[in-house]
Amino acid sequence: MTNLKAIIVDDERLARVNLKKLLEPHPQIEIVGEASSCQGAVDMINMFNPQLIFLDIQLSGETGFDLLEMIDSSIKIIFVTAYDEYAIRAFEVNAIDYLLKP
Amino acid sequence: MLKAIYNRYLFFFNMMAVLVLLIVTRTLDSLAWLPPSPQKTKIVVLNYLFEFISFVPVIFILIFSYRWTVIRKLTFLLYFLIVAFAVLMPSLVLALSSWLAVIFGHKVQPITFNLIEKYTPGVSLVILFLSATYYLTHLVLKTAKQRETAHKAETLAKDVQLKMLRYQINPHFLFNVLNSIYTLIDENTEKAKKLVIDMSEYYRYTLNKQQQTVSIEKEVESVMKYLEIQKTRFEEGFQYEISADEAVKSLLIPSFLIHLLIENAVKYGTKTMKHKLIVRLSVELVNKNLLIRVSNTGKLLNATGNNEKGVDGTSNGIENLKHRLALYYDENYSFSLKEEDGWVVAAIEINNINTR
Repeated sequence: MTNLKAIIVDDERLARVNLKKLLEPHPQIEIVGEASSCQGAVDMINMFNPQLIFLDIQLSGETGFDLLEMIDSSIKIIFVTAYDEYAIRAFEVNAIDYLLKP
Repeated sequence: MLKAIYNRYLFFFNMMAVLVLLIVTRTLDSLAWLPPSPQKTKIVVLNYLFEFISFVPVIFILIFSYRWTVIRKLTFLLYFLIVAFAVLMPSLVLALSSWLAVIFGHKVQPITFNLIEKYTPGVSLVILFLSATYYLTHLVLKTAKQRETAHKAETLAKDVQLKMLRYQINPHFLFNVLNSIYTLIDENTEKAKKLVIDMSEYYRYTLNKQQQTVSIEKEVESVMKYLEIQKTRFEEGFQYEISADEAVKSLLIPSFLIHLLIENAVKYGTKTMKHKLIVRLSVELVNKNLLIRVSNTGKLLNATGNNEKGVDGTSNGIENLKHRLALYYDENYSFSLKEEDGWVVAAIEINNINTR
């Protein structure tokens, strides 16, 4: 089985650390990069060409939805957030799943 | 609409009511002692009518001069005015009513010292009666207003406490902090412990506060806990600076006043600032004026001006803040919220604060 390349986008470093830890038991997902802003994420995507993005919705000064407009829509998105009020909108923009932070 | 007119001229109507009552009883009294002949009845009724009309301008003079002294809290002058009016007004009323009688073609006695002497005691009594009515109406209105103010202050204080609680249990804040603690437990136990302590102290401050005012020192202390929490969350992405004059620390201010501004600064700052969010608080005393300034990097959102509810169910509370400032400091305060050179600055200035 081929590994799935993924990046994590969250403006809080601790949240990224947390998610990485939670993903450790799943070796088929390989975290190739992390970003704290949409621009950082675009750079990561250009560099590593991931198939999957774990994306926080509320970023400093912007939202995860802003990133979706900047990137290729074939990349799979999993939203990661602390609250679920954006759930419906997340599925409207083709998110494959929705994770709530612990 | 009638009620509005009544409320506006309350003093006038109350005093007119007293006067009507007096005139009616006196008229009935005089008519009862006279043999009821139509001619005499007419004279008595007309005389009292002229007297009644003559009292109207006097009532206006009374209200305006009493008001003037009451507003300026010149109690001694008020007493002086009451006595002066009781002595001088009878002659004025007498002159006015004789003048009216002349205009309407009635015979009048010439105004002599004797007549004034006879006339004065009764009219003085009426003037004193009217003054007492004025004073009573004033007292009733004052206590009603005080009660209303106290009630309003209490409601607003409860309201702001609720806002704070709502902010604290909103998922953006609570779950993200819990998430940070979860991660820190493995990564940096000391930091995790400190975050738990800061959180519990920040929550305790909100839950404990039942008083409507609090010392600046306590408020700033709690604000610092909150900013520490945000610092731990955002690490390099967040920075804060606090400066508070030693001289202002014991001053009392409406509770949560600074919290409200700081939480707005963080809330709207993170929404509009992409990179580093900096929040500054300064509390200082400048020429007896208390200056509280909260500034943050970012942009001023239009939504900050009105009371619209944000996505997390917290309105920004600026209306509440203004109402409370107006209650505690009357006109002696100013509040401004503006954007200058990439900073959003909220400033409260309270003039002539009592430093004791």
